[in-house]
Amino acid sequence: MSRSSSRAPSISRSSTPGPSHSGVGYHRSPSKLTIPPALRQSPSLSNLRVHSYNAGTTTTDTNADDVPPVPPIPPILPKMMTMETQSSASSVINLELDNINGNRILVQDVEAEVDSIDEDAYQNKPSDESKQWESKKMLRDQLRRTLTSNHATAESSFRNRNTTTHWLPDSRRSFSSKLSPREYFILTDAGKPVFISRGIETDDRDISSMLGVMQALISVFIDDGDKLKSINAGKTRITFLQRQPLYYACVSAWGEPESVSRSQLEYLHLQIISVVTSAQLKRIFERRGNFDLRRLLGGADTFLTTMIARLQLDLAISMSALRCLRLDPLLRNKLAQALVPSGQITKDILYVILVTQGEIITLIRPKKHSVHPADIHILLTTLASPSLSNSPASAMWIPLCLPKWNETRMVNAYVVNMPYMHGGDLTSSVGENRSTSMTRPSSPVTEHQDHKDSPNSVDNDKDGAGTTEATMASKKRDDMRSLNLNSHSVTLVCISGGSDFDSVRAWCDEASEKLSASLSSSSLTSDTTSVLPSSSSTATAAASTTSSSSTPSTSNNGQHPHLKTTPSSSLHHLRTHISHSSYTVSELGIPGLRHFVYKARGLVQVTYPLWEDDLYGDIDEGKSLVEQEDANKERKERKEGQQGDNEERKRIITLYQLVHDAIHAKGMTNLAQGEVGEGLKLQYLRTETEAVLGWITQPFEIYLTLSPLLPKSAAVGAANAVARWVKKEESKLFLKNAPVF
Amino acid sequence: MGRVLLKVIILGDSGSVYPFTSYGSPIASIDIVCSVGKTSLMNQYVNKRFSNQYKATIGADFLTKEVMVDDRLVTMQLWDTAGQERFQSLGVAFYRGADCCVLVYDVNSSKSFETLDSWRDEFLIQASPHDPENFPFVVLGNKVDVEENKRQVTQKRAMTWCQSKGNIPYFETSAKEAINVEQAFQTVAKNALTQEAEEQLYVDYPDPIQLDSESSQSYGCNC
Repeated sequence: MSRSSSRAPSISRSSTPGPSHSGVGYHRSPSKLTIPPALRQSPSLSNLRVHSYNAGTTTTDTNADDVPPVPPIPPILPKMMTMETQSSASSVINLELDNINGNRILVQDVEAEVDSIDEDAYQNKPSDESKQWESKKMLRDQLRRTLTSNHATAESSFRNRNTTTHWLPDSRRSFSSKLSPREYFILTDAGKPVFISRGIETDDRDISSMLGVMQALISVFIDDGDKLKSINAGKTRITFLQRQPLYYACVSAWGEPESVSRSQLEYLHLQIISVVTSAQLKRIFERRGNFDLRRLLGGADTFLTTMIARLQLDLAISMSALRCLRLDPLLRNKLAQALVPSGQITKDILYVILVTQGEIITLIRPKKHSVHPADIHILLTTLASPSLSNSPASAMWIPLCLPKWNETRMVNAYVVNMPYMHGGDLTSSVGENRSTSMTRPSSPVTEHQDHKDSPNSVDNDKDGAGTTEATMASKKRDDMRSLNLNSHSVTLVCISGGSDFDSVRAWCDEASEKLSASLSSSSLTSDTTSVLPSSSSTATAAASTTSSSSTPSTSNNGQHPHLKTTPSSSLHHLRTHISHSSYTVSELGIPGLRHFVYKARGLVQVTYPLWEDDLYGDIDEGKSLVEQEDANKERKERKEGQQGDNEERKRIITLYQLVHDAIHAKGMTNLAQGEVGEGLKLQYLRTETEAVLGWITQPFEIYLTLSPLLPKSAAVGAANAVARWVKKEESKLFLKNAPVF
Repeated sequence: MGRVLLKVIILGDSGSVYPFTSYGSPIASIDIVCSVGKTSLMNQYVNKRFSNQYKATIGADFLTKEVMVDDRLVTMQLWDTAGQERFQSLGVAFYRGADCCVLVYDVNSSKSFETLDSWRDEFLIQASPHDPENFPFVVLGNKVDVEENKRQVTQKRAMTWCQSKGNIPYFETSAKEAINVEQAFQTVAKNALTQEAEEQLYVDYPDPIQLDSESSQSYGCNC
């Protein structure tokens, strides 16, 4: 591997870790070892960039080119050598390696974008400020050096890893290494804290210092008319987003593409905007740059925390799309028709949305407005936050700003929780087959019982009871559960812009009555003790026995006990359907397929099966006994390491994001050469534990998680099979032709 | 909610070398040699928490100190521009949102006193506070421990200047002898907090939106 390739980590080099890797016996296209020169010929000034390409180096090199040649194999990571890490790409479906393009797309060099921007910035610098320029150059040198050496001490054991494994999720190296939670910081441009994901009650002075450093670092570049985008410190990347007057930072070692971190920070910004509006934010900070925004955001931390929880695991957000409930189109239409505003009220109403489990049932909008998915995610996050989802109120007004619709104004959301959702109902719906449990669903007791259901959590209980980690994990599950709780209700949301509260409320109440007209109160009470056997659905039910209770979307799975109600109302039908709406990947019956995401691009909607408790549950026929044992051992290790199912989810989602980033060729657009305008249509990425395939076409994008042992031809076959299945189910899976007014 | 964070900028000559130095050996620290003693003051005030680990990196020192002001615990973030020539490497972004500015001069150097004017002006330009007239400054005449006959700026001269600038509080300090340092920074904290706290939110209830007035937007999702 050439010396210069130590810069700019890339997929190709990461996944083919050098010649001594040859034991794997896979054919590698030599072209993948090279990178188009264009990507490396970044201006030398960009070496002043805070990217510390080689954090393991303790020398005081000021230039990335001085970094010593990188050994082909990270010495500390012997596991890498035995890992079957494979990656290939092709522009054609049959996965023939196209060498001409193949070496290009694999280089998913997010830093190329940064570098080219730097170049512009520097070119714009007046030359007569040479003296000042010198001092700034020195400052940048120092800055870079300090960052390098600071992290070198702590992380020297991972010398050089960012060149070979930089972009890889931690877990690909070893199952026992856990993905530590990402950290998020929000500060004002004066360096004052706004929100800290780890909680602000930790040592305030340390936080102040950290925020001070962040503000100073960002300032150094702002004063140059430049933008600090990210700092690489070994496997950890700190990504910055500037949305004046606020700065956002994300610290992550997951290995996700930079574009993902940036979009997450953007979502946090939108969530803040949804509380204060950009106009108010601007006004306040124009008047007072030293304003402490926490005063204004009092109570809004919960929205941000909920958003962060969703950002980690929600694929719909990742894919910038909506997720709709799978539903019989006739029923969906019937529900929608009941919700179409008419007459006077139409001028006050922006959107009418019916949601359950964080999934859209239907969405009715005026003819002239379409919906931005981000707005819906902001809304859903707001509704899912504990302060609202735990609210006993059956209906409430929530003023909020939908930033993509109009970031300067507030709208009012009238939120009606459909009447059957009260106390005991919630409990029995959460606790499967335990309708006698009357504890509050969010209480630790119920939490504990819930987890007895899943084999994984039994392990957790044994191993980790009492440890702080377990407590934190359970707190996290609690958070997820509150998402979950909310998801069990059917919620009608009516966004109105006007101040005519009464008529909007009257209309909503009427609409919700229409929906639930025939739900009598007597049926409500009897429901709380009735239990619907989980065998009511076929494949879905089978999966539910292994499905995790901590994944939000699973617990509704075939376990809605409320459904023996009077059968005539739309709402009743809906609830019957909700219980069967989720599906598992096994329903598709595609061998080797573990999970997938399908995005209908035209509709901006995604569909994906439930996350199963253990994606490795069904061992592939092709696997040898040894491999099976390995798999078992891995599973055991994972459990011993107290890693919840989310570890796998996190890892797979990160892989999806990498592939998504690659096929969209993010970060490539700014290349001066313009050669690489577009990614390849198909990406295949193989790790020790799974293979991920991404495929983009005009109408859809599809991402599959497959057994790593599946031949590529079978992987492509699976992709086609998923596409066919979705096509067949399309009318149920997606919201189409919703009425407008 | 976390406690209040106050951002305090400390300014004063440090770039210009003048022959006389009151304490410290030339090799000990460039700040002490060349400057009015800002770093020494901060060091003295914050005491054992002193650390200069950020200085070389980002062109400014800052350190934090927790203080009680009127029964409120606040965190002071003290920004020192030590080692930098004026604003050459530091600009708007650093000073943005400051809650108080401390101007330091050396009572044994008229030149350092005479430049206070431009320091103040530059701060107001760079930080552009909302209400420059009433922005809290505090002036410190440092190094009063040096023999009286070397003193070049009288207390009266300094106080006259402070009065002319809108009654800026004035303290004569010695970082070396720990004279008045605590009192001075207590005033800094107090005035900064006043500035920070006054003039509360502008929570205007949002005007109703005319939905019709919004031009129709087209996003992808025409579901």
